[in-house]
Amino acid sequence: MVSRNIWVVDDDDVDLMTYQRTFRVLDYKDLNITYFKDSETMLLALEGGGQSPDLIFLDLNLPGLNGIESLQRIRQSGFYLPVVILSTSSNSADISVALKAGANAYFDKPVGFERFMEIVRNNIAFWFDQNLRE
Amino acid sequence: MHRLTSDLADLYELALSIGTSLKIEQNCNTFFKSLVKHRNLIGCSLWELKPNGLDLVYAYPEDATKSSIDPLLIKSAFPEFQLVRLDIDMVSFRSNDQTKSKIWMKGGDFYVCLSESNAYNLSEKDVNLLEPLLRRFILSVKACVSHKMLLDEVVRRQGIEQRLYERESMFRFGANSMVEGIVVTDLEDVITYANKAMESITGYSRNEILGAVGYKLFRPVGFKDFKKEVIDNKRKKGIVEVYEIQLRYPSDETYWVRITGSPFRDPKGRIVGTIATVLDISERRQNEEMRENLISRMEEVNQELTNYAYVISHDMKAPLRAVSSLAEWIYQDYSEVLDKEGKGMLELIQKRVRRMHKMIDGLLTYSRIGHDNLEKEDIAVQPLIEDVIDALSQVDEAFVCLDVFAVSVKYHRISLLQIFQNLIVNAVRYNDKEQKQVIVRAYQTDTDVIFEISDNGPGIKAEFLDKIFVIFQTLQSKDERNSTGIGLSIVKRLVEVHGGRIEVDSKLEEGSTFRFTIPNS
Repeated sequence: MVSRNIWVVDDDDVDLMTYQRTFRVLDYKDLNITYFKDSETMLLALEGGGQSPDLIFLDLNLPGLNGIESLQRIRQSGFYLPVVILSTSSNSADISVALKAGANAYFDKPVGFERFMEIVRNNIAFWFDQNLRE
Repeated sequence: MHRLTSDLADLYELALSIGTSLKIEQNCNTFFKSLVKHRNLIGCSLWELKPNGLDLVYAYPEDATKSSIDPLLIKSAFPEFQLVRLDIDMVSFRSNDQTKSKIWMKGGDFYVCLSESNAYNLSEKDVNLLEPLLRRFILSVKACVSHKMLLDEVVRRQGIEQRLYERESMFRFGANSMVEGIVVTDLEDVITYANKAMESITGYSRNEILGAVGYKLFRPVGFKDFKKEVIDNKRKKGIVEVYEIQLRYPSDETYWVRITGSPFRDPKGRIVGTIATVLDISERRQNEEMRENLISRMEEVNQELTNYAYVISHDMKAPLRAVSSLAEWIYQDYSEVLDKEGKGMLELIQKRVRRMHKMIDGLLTYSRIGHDNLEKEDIAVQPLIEDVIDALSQVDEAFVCLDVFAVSVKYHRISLLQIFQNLIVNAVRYNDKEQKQVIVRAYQTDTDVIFEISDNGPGIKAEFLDKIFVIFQTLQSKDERNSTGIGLSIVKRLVEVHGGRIEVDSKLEEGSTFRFTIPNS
């Protein structure tokens, strides 16, 4: 199995804990998870070369550059990897803006750890199985 | 000598008689009588030249009218007469036997004819003496005629003036007791008439208004070139419209008027100006402006509140989620350390978090009602309610009876679903009877469709009936029923936002009936 890089961009400590706990529970052997607390740092890492991610989980409400802006930067820089938005907002306007900016999927952050875990698990299964098939 | 003296005296008398009366007949009578008497004439007559020939005005004596003919044609008419003298304004004839003669004197359109007998032929000298007298007479006749015409005209005009005066009085009375201003202007907008109301409307006295140029005095607001835009381009072409404009008081303050005008025409139908009524509508405009401001302010506030509710509920969810996750992890990670009571507390935290979450969602829904575009469609009610019942697990334990056969409404589908869902769930959830029963009925009236959802539940105490639609209000402990107290508030808004009403009848122990209407339109 090829090793995959997943980047998570979220500024909320508990949400980051939720991601960490999710990956700990799901216990993927071949995943490298990198966490960013703001999008500028993430973009620096992305545009600076080096190991590029295979999937990004991106929050919308971020300090400084927000999720939409950083998503636009990602696409403008020519990166076409899957970007999944996981946000507290279920506003239809936010959703359509995000999809227009080039998001591959949009999820409302659920209440309850189980449901959160399910979203992450489903996404990994979807994007990586998809990639393998191609 | 005696003859001459007598002549002079007679002539003097004649001269006096002429022009003493304004009546032609009377003058002729006096004059001709004297002439006939003193000069031994057969008769005298006065003729007027009309387009179709000579017209007898007066003859003395009355039969002295034989010479009713154009003097220039007299020769052929009376072959026994021969022309004696022909001047520009005097012609005389004499009969062949020298026994009769006629003398025609002309003055303007009038002729005087003197007929002589053979006994006293008028001498040349007589004629010369008579000539100025006749002239004078004709002049006086002409004066009489013009005076008569003048009199007739005066009488005629007096009549017209009387009628005009009456009409104008009526107009003035009407005009001056009107609330509307009336103003008449010429083509250059010079004001030729203004009624009393114009003073109170414009703040200028009538002395200031009359003769002033309207647009210069009243200074309409918002025109680059009033003269060109309104007077030249419209009024002069007879286009006079109803328009509302802002004018200025002498103090420069502005006020609104509505002007209703029509072209003012002269008797030949040419446009010579404008007549218009002016209505002070400042108060109405102020009210309108105030209302518009209030409405737009209210819309702003409403929008702000919607946004506010949205942002708040959105931001409130994030920490809630964190609390929920953390409580869950403490439960999982420290399961061995926690005793039963500790675990119970964590479960309570989870329950409260879930309720809070529901309340936030409800608040969000509530605040969005009326802001989202609620497009209406034709909905058959029975299948919709059946869908609602199928989707509700609670309803399994109840008997729901539908009496809405063939009723259809034009409504926003999701709204109607939510209304029925809430009301049916409530009817079952709070039902304490062994045999839970819900009846849904529909009635069609001229103006509305009325729906009734009745249950055989515990009923609601009269003092609580007002409270059940209040947001976050529950009648039982929230824990007991796991309710947020927002459902009926949402129903009420969903009904009212579409122009309907909702009310509830209830009898303790027997049940409640919720009744809501959907307008037909």
